Amino acid sequence: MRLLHSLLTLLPLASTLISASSSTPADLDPKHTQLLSKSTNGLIRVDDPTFEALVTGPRAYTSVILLTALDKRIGCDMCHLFQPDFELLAKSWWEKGPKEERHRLLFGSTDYSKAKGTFQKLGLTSAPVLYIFPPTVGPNAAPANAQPYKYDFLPTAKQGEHLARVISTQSGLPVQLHRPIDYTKYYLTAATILSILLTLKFALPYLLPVLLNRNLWAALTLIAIFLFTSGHMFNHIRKVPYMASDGRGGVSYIAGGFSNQYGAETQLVAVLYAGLTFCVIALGMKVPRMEGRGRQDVAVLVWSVVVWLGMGYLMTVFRVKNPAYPFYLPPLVK
Amino acid sequence: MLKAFLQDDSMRTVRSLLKATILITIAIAAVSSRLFSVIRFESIIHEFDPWFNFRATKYLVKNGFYSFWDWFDDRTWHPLGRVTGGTLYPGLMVTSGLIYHVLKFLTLPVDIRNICVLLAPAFSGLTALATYFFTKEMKNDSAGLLAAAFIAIAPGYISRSVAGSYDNEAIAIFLLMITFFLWIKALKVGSAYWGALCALFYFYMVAAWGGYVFITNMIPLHAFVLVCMGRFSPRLYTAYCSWYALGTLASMQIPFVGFLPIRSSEHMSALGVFGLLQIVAFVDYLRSLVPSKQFQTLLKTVVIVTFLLASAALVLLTVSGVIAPWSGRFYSLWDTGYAKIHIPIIASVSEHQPTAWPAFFFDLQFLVWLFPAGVYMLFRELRDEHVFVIVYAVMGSYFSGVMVRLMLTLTPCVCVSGAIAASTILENYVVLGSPKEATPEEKEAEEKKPRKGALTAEGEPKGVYSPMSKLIVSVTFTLYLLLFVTHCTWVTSNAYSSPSVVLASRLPDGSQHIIDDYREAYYWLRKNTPEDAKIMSWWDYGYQIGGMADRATLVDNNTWNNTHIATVGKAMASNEMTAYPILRQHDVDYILVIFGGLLGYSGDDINKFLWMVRIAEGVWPDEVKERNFFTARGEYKVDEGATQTMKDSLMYKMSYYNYHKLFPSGQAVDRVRGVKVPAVGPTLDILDEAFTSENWIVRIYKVKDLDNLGRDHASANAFEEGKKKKRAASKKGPVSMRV
Repeated sequence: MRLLHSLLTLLPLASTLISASSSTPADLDPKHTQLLSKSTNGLIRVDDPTFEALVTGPRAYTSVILLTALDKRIGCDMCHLFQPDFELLAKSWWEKGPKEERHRLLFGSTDYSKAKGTFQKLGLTSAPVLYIFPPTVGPNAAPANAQPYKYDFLPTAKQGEHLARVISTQSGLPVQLHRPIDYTKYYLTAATILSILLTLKFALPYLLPVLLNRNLWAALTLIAIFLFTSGHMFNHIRKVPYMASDGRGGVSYIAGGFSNQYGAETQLVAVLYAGLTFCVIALGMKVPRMEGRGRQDVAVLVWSVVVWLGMGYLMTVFRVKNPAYPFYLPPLVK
Repeated sequence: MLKAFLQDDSMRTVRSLLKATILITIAIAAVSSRLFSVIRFESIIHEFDPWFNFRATKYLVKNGFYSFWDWFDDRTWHPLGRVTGGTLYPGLMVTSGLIYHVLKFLTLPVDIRNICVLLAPAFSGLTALATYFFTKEMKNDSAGLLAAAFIAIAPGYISRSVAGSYDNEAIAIFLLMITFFLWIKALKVGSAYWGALCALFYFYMVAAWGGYVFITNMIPLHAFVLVCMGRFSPRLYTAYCSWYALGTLASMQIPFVGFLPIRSSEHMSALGVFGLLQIVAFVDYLRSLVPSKQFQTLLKTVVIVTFLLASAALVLLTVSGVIAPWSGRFYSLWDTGYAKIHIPIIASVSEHQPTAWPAFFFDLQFLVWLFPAGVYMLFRELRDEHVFVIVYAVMGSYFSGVMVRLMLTLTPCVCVSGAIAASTILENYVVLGSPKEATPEEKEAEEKKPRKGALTAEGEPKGVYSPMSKLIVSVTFTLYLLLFVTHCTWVTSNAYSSPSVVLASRLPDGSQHIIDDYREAYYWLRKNTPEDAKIMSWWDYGYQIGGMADRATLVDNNTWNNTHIATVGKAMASNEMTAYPILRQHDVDYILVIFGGLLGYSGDDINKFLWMVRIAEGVWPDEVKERNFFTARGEYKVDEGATQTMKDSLMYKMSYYNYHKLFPSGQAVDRVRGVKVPAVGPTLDILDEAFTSENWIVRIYKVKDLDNLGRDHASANAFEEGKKKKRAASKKGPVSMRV
């Protein structure tokens, strides 16, 4: 029984050995080795003639070809975003892919400046485009006249992982993306923490009075509150523009609609809130402690008027956002 | 005379009476301002989740507590079912059940529905009371009364507590405030008695609402900040330890919570601070015994090192999986982009969106700028309990900025802090009599003192001299307060009092017209379908179907099983041939879709459709692709230019089936999207239209049984249509024969 078991475990091993010995890359396709010799880190730089060589004629490998436009003048953001992941994926396959399968998949990348003919021939008007050409001979061969698979770019991060999955399902090969661990980040963090600790050690006698200052903490608290209540987190999450064109050639600072906003208007609102809060603090805490009747009267009058106008203006701005809002303060009817 | 009334001991009873009267008036105001929807519509449960709570409450009242505890619900999540008793927060239902039985015992038989509808307003009165006590601990009686008045009518709280919104939040905000009050009280007097009371209400809160995690983190945070400020005291130790030990043990009695308090990251800060306090207390004790300075330095190091080691151990345990990491819902509060990428089902809910500034002003009005002033005033005095409000204000503002629904947790803090600012103003300006003018010598001495910045307020306030100044400020602030009241009333009546089950619209002559399609359709289901019929709909309507139509559903608002929801999404997004096996496998008898095209009702399924696609794509990325629902130019279209995938999808077909027949040929318009729909409507092979409500909002389809001859439905239908033509031809045949 045990013998049988050990034999069974040996079986797949043996079969891979046989297959590996019987079909070397060169046997399968001489073109392949030739192409790969030109590659850097497993990525073949494709131009018009190599493109032909890669996709025409019988081949036993899957080719993944990225047609991109990295020229700054073309201004293709997606191309630049995607390129590092693609190169990384090619490198991962080149270095870490299973040895006996490695020859069955190759990665090529071509730039518009180098392969205009290819772009024209394929009728491409936009970049980047990624094709997966299935093999035409061999065990995984696609039926004749099979169209290459066109990859849909995701609008998210982690494109590489997604593409690896897609290639795996298309070709049946275990493609995986190995992101190198960014050690510099760890070193940097460690160094930062260390330097902060050192600075603290030496600067603490000077910093401590500042850190223990109540006004500092009060200011920080109030700033945080103003930021959050004026919709800063919304700006941060939705990445709203600072302002936008109003469609008549001008600029509009206030977005239409109740659940929408621009960066500029949140700043305006934060300043309004801060001003009003300051007035209330002045009225509630400073004025009653003032000496002298005259000065106090002036202060009360000034702060009261500021609060009134500020609140009135705030309501006016709010009426822009919500036109159905019926309330206002008298001098500022709009 | 007035002074005597305000301060004299002999008038204490009168003052208490006055306070009680004011509080009762506030409670009445709180309740009555929440009754708009009952008066305008009827005593009805609102929205979505409340329907489940209502259904659960009915079950509890009917079957008793123990069977409620063990309730396995086979009417939802067909065919999986749901262990409802173990996966809900029972506090709300038990509360209403208790009230029902007490009233019954008092021979006051009140329908359970009315108890459920009116529970939220009733508890808002109690919230006002709890807020009064809380604020009284912060400042004084008058601030407390103001805070109670604010919380009673603040729209930020009303939005979740109008009559009929029978949801966990209805009682949770009261529990939140009373727990915080008891915590402050325990901290102030340093008594285990108050700590235990705090734990008791904490337990109630855990039983009532998942938001209890807010308390679980606020109290430790407060304790931690106090320790960092060097304000450790035996009072803090007693209060915290009694709360934590009792509260944690108690909270573990809720089946849904179970061992989470010791096994999940959300609860680790409470445990960590508990440990920290033990060390600090130990060191504090040693310090009193050993005066040596070096030794104290050593001890300090020990505290810090132990703390760091403990945190490292926590991190290690989390990484190794012993302690569950932050659950997605909470994690997305910190990493704000997380939900959108990883948990579309959370990102799809509208109340999980970030808050734009108008929402703050809408919900808080002038409190939004009054409350930072109150926070500043607390900074002046900065007693231990003031630190709590300050920390609460910062955390609350952050959370409410990230998620609209958390405005609810910010509102109490805003009311407390705003009331402190307002009462400071009123105390200074609404008093008769002015202070004595300073003599010239005093003035000179004052001038000689170094001047400080505008906001540094030192020394005792002297008061305001001129009656004119007092008049200006008191009149303007009274106006702001009045404006706040009208604002709150307007907001409540216009924005927060719609049951959303029943829609209201205005006819041209100004009279109100009620659109009651939902109930019409649910009632149709209840009366015309077999009792065990399975209804498929998008998860939003699951609770309503369960509650109003009493039929089994595939998915509901509990959203515990993403794959099951994705299955429904896939069925809706696929073409008929792909969808039919899915429908058969899940025993679907009827499909319900919401269509607003005729009425211009924008919350319909076509507008939610992309989320269905996205959620389905998350599970079956190869079979459902969001890209295919957009045109080549990236537009989401439903008119002639819609993509083929869109036109073939079951959702599209069900929404627009026969819709064009309502209009003259080629004139059919979708009033939500504002586009013309194709002149030739979609055809359905696997479904029969079963019911369409008056305004076409709800459309119900019956899933056809398998064909008798084993054909697929498309060819069967084609055959049927062909046959009719043939019959017409064959009729002609014999006639000609006779001639």
